[in-house]
Parts: sequence; structure tokens; C-alpha cells
Amino acid sequence: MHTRYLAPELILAVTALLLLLLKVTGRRLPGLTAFASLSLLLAGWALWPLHEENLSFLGGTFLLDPLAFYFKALFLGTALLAFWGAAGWVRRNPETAPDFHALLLLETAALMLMVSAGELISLYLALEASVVTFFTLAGLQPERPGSLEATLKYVLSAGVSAAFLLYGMSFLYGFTGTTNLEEIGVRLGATAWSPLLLLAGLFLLTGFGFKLAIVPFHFWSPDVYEAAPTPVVAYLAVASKAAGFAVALRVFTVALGALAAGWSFVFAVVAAATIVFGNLAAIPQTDLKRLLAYSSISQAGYLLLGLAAMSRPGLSSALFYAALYTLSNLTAFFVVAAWEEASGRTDLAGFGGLARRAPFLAAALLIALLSLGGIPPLAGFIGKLTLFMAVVDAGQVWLALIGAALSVVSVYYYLNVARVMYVEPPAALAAPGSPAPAPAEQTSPAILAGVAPTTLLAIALSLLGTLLLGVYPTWLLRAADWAARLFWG
Amino acid sequence: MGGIPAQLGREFWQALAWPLGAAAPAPAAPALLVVLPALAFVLAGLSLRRRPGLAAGLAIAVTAWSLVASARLFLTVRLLNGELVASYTWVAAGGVRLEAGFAVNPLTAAMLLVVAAVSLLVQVYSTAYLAGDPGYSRYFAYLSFFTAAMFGLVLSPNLFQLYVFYELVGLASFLLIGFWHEEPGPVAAARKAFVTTRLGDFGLLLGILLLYWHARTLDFTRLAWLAPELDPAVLRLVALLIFAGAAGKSAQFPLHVWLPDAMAGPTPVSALIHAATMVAAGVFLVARAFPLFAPAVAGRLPLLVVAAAGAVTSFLGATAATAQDDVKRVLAYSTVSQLGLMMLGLGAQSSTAAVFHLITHAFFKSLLFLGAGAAIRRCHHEQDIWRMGGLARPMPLTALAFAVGGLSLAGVPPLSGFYSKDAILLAVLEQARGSRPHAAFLTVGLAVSALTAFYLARLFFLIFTGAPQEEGPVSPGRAHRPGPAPREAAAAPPAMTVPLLLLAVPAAVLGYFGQRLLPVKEHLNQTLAGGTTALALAGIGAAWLLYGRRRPARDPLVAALGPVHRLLRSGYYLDDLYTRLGNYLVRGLAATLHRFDRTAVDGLVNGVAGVVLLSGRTLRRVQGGWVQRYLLYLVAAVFLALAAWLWHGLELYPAGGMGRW
Repeated sequence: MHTRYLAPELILAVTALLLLLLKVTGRRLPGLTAFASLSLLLAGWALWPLHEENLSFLGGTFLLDPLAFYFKALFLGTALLAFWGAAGWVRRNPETAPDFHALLLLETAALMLMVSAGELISLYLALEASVVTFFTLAGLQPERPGSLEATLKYVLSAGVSAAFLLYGMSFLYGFTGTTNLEEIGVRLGATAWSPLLLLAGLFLLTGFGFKLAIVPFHFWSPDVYEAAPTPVVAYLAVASKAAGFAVALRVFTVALGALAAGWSFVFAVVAAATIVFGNLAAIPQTDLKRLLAYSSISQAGYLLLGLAAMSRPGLSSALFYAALYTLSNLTAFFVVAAWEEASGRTDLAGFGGLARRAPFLAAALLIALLSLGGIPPLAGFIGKLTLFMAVVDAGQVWLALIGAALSVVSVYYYLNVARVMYVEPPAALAAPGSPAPAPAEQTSPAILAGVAPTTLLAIALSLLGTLLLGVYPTWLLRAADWAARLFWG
Repeated sequence: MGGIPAQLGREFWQALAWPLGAAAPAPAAPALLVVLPALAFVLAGLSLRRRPGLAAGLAIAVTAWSLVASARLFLTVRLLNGELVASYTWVAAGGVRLEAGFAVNPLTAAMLLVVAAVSLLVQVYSTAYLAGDPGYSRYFAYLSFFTAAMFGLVLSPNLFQLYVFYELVGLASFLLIGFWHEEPGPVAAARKAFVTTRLGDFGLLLGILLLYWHARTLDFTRLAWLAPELDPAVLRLVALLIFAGAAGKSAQFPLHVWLPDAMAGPTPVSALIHAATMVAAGVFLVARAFPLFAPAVAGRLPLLVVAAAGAVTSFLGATAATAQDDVKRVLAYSTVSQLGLMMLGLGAQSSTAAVFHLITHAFFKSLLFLGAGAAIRRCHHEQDIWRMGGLARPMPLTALAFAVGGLSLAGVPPLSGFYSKDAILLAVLEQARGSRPHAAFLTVGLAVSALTAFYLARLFFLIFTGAPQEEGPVSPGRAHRPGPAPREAAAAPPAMTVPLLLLAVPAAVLGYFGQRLLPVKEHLNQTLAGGTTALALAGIGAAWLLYGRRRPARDPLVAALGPVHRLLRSGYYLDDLYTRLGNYLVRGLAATLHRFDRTAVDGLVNGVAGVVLLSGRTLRRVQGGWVQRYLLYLVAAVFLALAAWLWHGLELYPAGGMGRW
């Protein structure tokens, strides 16, 4: 039965709807985090036996292949960590907590559908489902400054890029008379060349570029990152990008694979522009969430290197990179979230003296940032190294040059965060609604006591992953290679 | 159950006992050189926070073990007259295969010995120097981390592992320069050091990628075999990129600017990392990858670049050192200059001479730093040599040790520096027959000899002779640093003087015996030896006339040289230049991009607050302005991409080739 193949998504959707129904009763719901975690674990349990499958079902609407499995597992893990990391925020916002949990579960289900979409309609529907869920999530805290503005920006940009996406899809349909990705690829191989086809591809790139927040489709992301609730941003920054990467990969290699050499060039240019822009624009940022937004833009550029290489090693290193980027970025955002709970500040100056107040948080953030900067022996180093190797193998030495040079720049602004945390005098605590405690009380135990234990656990786990993947990366590299094996043999 | 852990445990104990005389060979012993300090780092960093004495004891015990193990490894390799290599697969997935392991040969074993010996003495010295510092156990944890990383670097059997540890020693250096992280100066210096050396590392990484792509291996032994068969053009590029990495770490022009600033770290750290070991890693790297630099496989260019960079660095460093007033900055520029000399030796195709000088330099330069540290500590962290003086009377042993180190570095026979420096100059001299650049390099080398003797003598006279200077107020930022209690102010404690005296021994005699231990060319060129000795004595004499005979109130060179002195004092204004360039280029570009991002998009919606959003005016603004702009950008971007693709596509598929694309 086909239900089995969609069981993980169904489990998530059903539990999410159940949560929303329960919320209507108006009662306070205890144990939300545990409930959501249980739902995710259940979905994971349903997902696991599917790793042996490689098939399409429901008339080719959905695919179940190693690539889809890899990303689905990644999303489930990310969501689990995101729920734990959000515990502090949930405690502070009891009214919206059920919505947050339900929406994040729905979002996970939508992203999982997105990466297994086998034709254009299901792909578009899954993508829109995830976008609609996300802007609801982004606006969950309307009292935050700039929240409505940012949400509106997100909605409008999403609308514009959806229009591009649909337009591009209609071109493809017009050319081939089918919406099935594989069929499109076959039929396009037999059609005459047309510049309109090119336009179609670029329109599609616009749509996916919005999801990935790559240059020049990144405008919305710093504002949304700054204004949306931090746990939402943590999830948005990693899972949404990974899903965008997965669908771009499918469409451009399966449906438009005949033009691979040309797309490789387009992706190389976009990746280079994204890496350069993201890293340079991050330097003058004074808000840590904005800084991480630009850093995430540049990281998406590194992901694209894998597409630019258009080779199996390139793809598998990009898949590896997606996982390690998830871990390191989650650590960084959870620390920001934890500190925001304790002090109410996300501006860079607010992190002054963090090392003396909460050494664990400061060290975790430092290690996560160093990993993102590609310092060995952390995971980011292996990720960047394998990506560069793949790109050089594909003959694009200039791309590796840009990537490596800008990673030096990234270390500069990451270390600037370290400087603030370790050198600057402790900043004033300005928690909204509560009088700031006396300086004597701002010691490590007092602050760590204010952070939810599950948040600390999520930080510790993602940090452990970053360290582990750096020292012993082989198993995940193998898994990524396994997931990439269907592409380019 | 228990099979593999038990086996591991047995091997661990065997390897641990091996240096103490157990007869059975222990293959895991070299690995323990990395593992034990790493364990010490974790333990000292995590669990021993409240027991500083234990942290220091653990670090010192581990380093002492390493010293014995290194010595035994050295002897074993010498007896074997070969190489102990073990390489294991670390990462193997898809097309990537990376290895890790260790390789012990005469070069790496000698380097191990130097690292272990200097580390041990510096750690012992530090117990006194940092006594009472609140970060005491953190300091020893970092030192252990550094030792582990440095051993890993030296033992690397391939370029990849070397790169990993290359970055790790950089990280250790970053942590230790910024050790006093309550002060802004050290932390800025730490960041500068890290980012500057990473610029070089970036070149190294590219070189490694290129080499791997071309040769499909990064193993040193295999590369030495393969090198003659590889494309010389690629190898030339690879060699130059590897040298970029070496130039960053070993402070070669134009990347040398971080080293003088790195002196903001504690003085024992300067001695260990920024004089003896880590900064020599670049020289070690080139020596290790020397088969890739050979003129027969890579052409003449790479080694010529190495020699030229070395000569320029050596000269810049030596001249700048004569004009510094901070004792540690004098020594830092001296290190820059000596590292340049080692590179010159490599460039003259004599890696043996370069490594020989690396080893002797490690001993006498750390001796000089530790001696200076003792003097600085006694003067309550005063580092201005014009406010020190007459210290030979209260601290005679320190003065004696400092004098031995200084004379050795100045190249006065029969001390160590004389032999190793002459080996380098001799190599340059041999190249100079028939090569005009090398003749110029030889002249530079001779000038540097005289300058070295001059600035070292100046340092000695101003610190240790003459009348004691009045104690002024200590520089404000350093007030919290630990200093001697008034009662013990008379002389340095034994934990400091004993390492000094122990270092003075190799600084004095290693050169003579080293000639036998290392395969250095025996024959001394008598003209050259006589000439350099005369130059060294002339330098000392000049310093005596200017500073020793009668202590001047201020530096006579300031008036005599005028603007030239200011130029030298500032290190040729390179710092200024880089800061400005960096500001203009990176920050300017970043700010422009940032402004574009803000004004182009954000400016249009600025002021759209949630409350006014509901008013029709704002909605109109949002709908009418921002979206259209955004759409415009999107469309423009898409069409730009279209144009680029078409342009590229036409190139890819020339006329007629469009059939099936």
C-alpha cells in the first residue's frame, strides 16, 4: 500500500492537527515538547524501513529514493533539536505554544513531501505548503519589533518567487506536455534547443533561490531572521535551505539534466556571488541574528558549490555539508535563543562578557562559529575541504579559490563575535518586563538556571555532532555518498 | 567481549612504558605523543580547574614523558638510518580518501626532540612566571593543547594531516596570545595573528587541493617518488602555494606583520610558540615538502622566490630590530629576521642547513625570551629597555644565560649560532658562483650578521649594565599581572633560573656537536667564518660605543638617522599600510554591499511599523513601492543571468553544435 510510503508525513500531519484541535478547547496543554518529540520519533520509526526503497508511487507524484530518505531523516532530526531548543521560548509564550508545535510539525511534513516530489504539481504544492506555514510561524510573535513588517516582506517575496516558479513550470509543461520530472528530462533530450527553455530554467532558479536565500534572491532573509522568534529562525535557516537545495538538485539534474554544462556555469556564478556577498555583508552587522542571516546566505553558497561541480563527489559533499551546517547553525541559534531568554538582547553588544557569565554558552557559540568558518578539526573543515576537492576535480579551480578566500573573511567576523564574548565588559541585562538583576547575580549558575534544560541539551547535542563529524566524518560521508549514488552513477 | 579494548589497553601501557626502557618495540608510542598532551588538555581544562598545581604537574609530567620518548625515537631512527611510518585511513567515502598516521625520520625526530625539550623547560619556567595568575590552569591546558598539536604537525606523514595540525597550532597560538583576554591589546593581536596566518594557510590549502587533484596522493614519501613524473608547471604553482602557507606561519614578508604584535601574549608563550617552535613550522613545512621544490621537478622559480622572500624578510627584521624600545619587540623582529635566514638557506637548496639553524635557534631564542621574561617580571612587567638597566647585579645567572644566548645568536664562535648560520651562508655562497641573485642574498646575509650582533649587544647593555633605572608607574593595562612579591624581588626563583641555565647548554655547544649528529657539510669555509666573526664583533663593538661605554639618556640613533629611524621603528609602516588597505578594501566593500542591501530594499519599507500597517497609506506604500522594486530586482537578476548564460552557452556550443546541445 502506498500509505506506508507516506506514513511519516501522515503521522506528523495528524498529530499537528490534533494539537490544533486541542488548542480550540482552550485548555492549557502541558508536555507539548514531549508530545511533539514523540510524534517525530514515531515518524522516524515509520521512516526507517523505507531506506531500502527506490521507487515512485501515486503515479509518479512522489519518489522514495536515497536522496529523499537522507533529507527526510535530516529534517526529522532538525525538528527534534528545534523543539528542544525552543523549550525556553515556549515557556515564555504559553498561549502560542500549541500553534508553534503544530505548525513546526506541519512544516516538517511539508518539507519532507517537497524533497520526495516527483513531478511539478506536487513539488509546487509542497513548496507552497511549507511557505505558508513558515510565514505563519514567522509572525507568531506580533509584538516583536518589526515582526509584521518582516512577515509581510516574506509573504510578498514568496508570492513573487512563486509566480516565477509557476511561470517556469508552465514553460516546461508547454515544451514537453508532462509534469513528471523524469519524463520531462527524457522529452527535452529530444526537443530542439530554444532560448525559452533557458528562461524557464532561470525562472525555476528564482523560485528555488528564494527558498535557499541565495544572491540575488536573499533580500528578505536578514529582516525575517531578525524579527521572527529565534527558534523559528533556527529551523528556517537550516531545514528550509536544505529542502530548497534538494528540489533544485532534482529539477536541474533530472528534468533539465540535458543542459548540465550550462547549469553548472550558472550555479557556479550564483554560488560565487552568494559566498562573496554573504561573507562581506556579514562584517558590519551589529545584531547577531542578522550576522547569522548573512552567514547563512554565504553557507548556502557553499552548498551550491556541490551543484556547480555537477558530479557525484560534489553532490555527496554538499549533502554532508547540509548536515554539518544544520548542526553548527542550530548550536549558534540556540545559544542566541538562550541568551535572548536570559537577557532579552540579540544585538552583538548584548553578548559582551558572555564568557564570564555563561562559559558554556560562549564556548558552544565559539565552536559552532569556528566550524562554520572551516577550522579543523571541526565538521565545517571536512565539509569545506571535500566541497573544494569536488570543485577542483570538476575543473573549477577559481570557484575553490573564491570559496577558500572568503572563508578567511568569515573567520574574521566570527572571531569578532568571540572578541565581544570574551573581552568586552558584561553588557546590561534588559529582559523585557523584569527588572535587571544586580551585577553580582549575573553569574554563570544564575543565568544557566534561567535557560531551559532541554535547550542546554539541544546545544550540547548539536555541539557534540559538530565535534564528532569533524573527528570521524567517514560514516556520514558514506551515507551522503549513498544518497548521491543515483545521480551521475 | 573486551577483545579490542583490552588490546588497546595493552598497547597503551606498552607504549607508555616504552621510553623507560622496555625492550619490546611499541608501535603506538608516536601516537601517544599526540594523545597524552591532548588528554592533559582535556583534564586540565575540564576537571582540574580548581586545582591549578595539579594541572601544571600533569602538563609537565606528560611533556617530560614526551621528551624521553622523543629522545628514544631519535636514537632508534638514527640506528635504523631510516623511517618509521604508519598510515591509516581516516576518511574514505566516495572518491575521497584521506590518511592519518605518523612518520618518524631524522628530520621529524630532531624536530620532536626540540619541541619536547623547549616545551618542558618553558612549562617549568611558567610555573614561576605565572604563579598566582587566575588563569593558571587554563594556561597549562592551552600549553598542553599546543604541544599535542605541534607533535601532530611534526609527525604528519602527509600534507593533509599536516594542514589540520597547522591550523590547530594556529588556534593554540590564538588562545595563548589572547591569554590575558581581559585586555584589549592581546585580543586584537591574537585575532590579527590568526587571520594573517590564515591568509597563508589559504594558499596552502589551495596548493594541497591542486596537488591532490594532480597527483592523487598527499603522502610525503609517495610524493617524493612521484614528483619527477608530475607536470612541472603544476608543481611550480603547488610549490609557490605551499610556500605561501609557510610564509604565513613563519612570518615571512609580506605576511610577517603579526609576529611583533603576538608578543602581547605571556613571555614564556613568546619563547615557546613565537620563537622556538610554531613559527618554525613554516620552515619545517618547506623542508618536509622539499622534493616538490627541487629545481629538477619544479623549475628554478620556487626556490628563488623562497630565497628572495627569506633575504628580504631577514633584512627587514634585522633593521627594524635595531630601532625598537620594547625588549620583546626587539626579540620578535630578531625572530622574523632569523626565520628569513632559514628560508634563505632553504632557497639555497640546503634544507639541512636551514633545519640546523632552526634547531639551534629554537634553543638560544627561547633562552633569550625567557631571560628577558625574568628581567621583565622583576621590573613589574616593564618592557621598555630605556626604563630597565643594571640588572646584572641582582640577577647574575639570568645575565649570564642571556649573554650566552645573545653571543650564540650573534654568531660568535664557537657557540651554536656560529655553526648553523655559517652553514646557511656557505650554502648561499656555493649558489652564488654563477647566480647574480644569490650574490645579492649573500651580501644581505652578511649585513644581517652584523646587525644581529649590534641589536643584541644593545639589548644586553641597556638591560643588564649601567645604573638601575627608577621605577616609574607600570603601564596601566598590566597592573593585574602577577609579579614578584617584594620579599623575593632580589633574584629570579629557581624554577626560572634552572631552565635558563639548562637552555644555555645547547645554545652554547649544540652547534659543535650538531655537526656530527646531523649530516651537515663538515668543511667550514675559513674566509667566510672569519668574515662573519669579524662582522659580529664589529656589531658588538659598535653597540658598546653607542650604549655600553656610557649609557646615553636617549637613543643616539634617533637623532642620527632621523626619518629613517622612524621608518625602522614602525616596521617600514607596513602595519599602517595593511590596516588602511584592509579598511578600504574589505570594510569599504562590505559597507557598500550592506548599504545597498539596506537602502535598496529596506529603505523603501523603513518605518512600516505594525501599527500603521493597517492604515491604507502604508499598505499602498508597501504594495506600490517595495514589491515593484523587488520585482524589478528579480527580473533584472534573471535577465542578467540569462545574458551570462547565453554568452557562455554560445561559447560552449559553437556554430552548428546546437543540435543536441
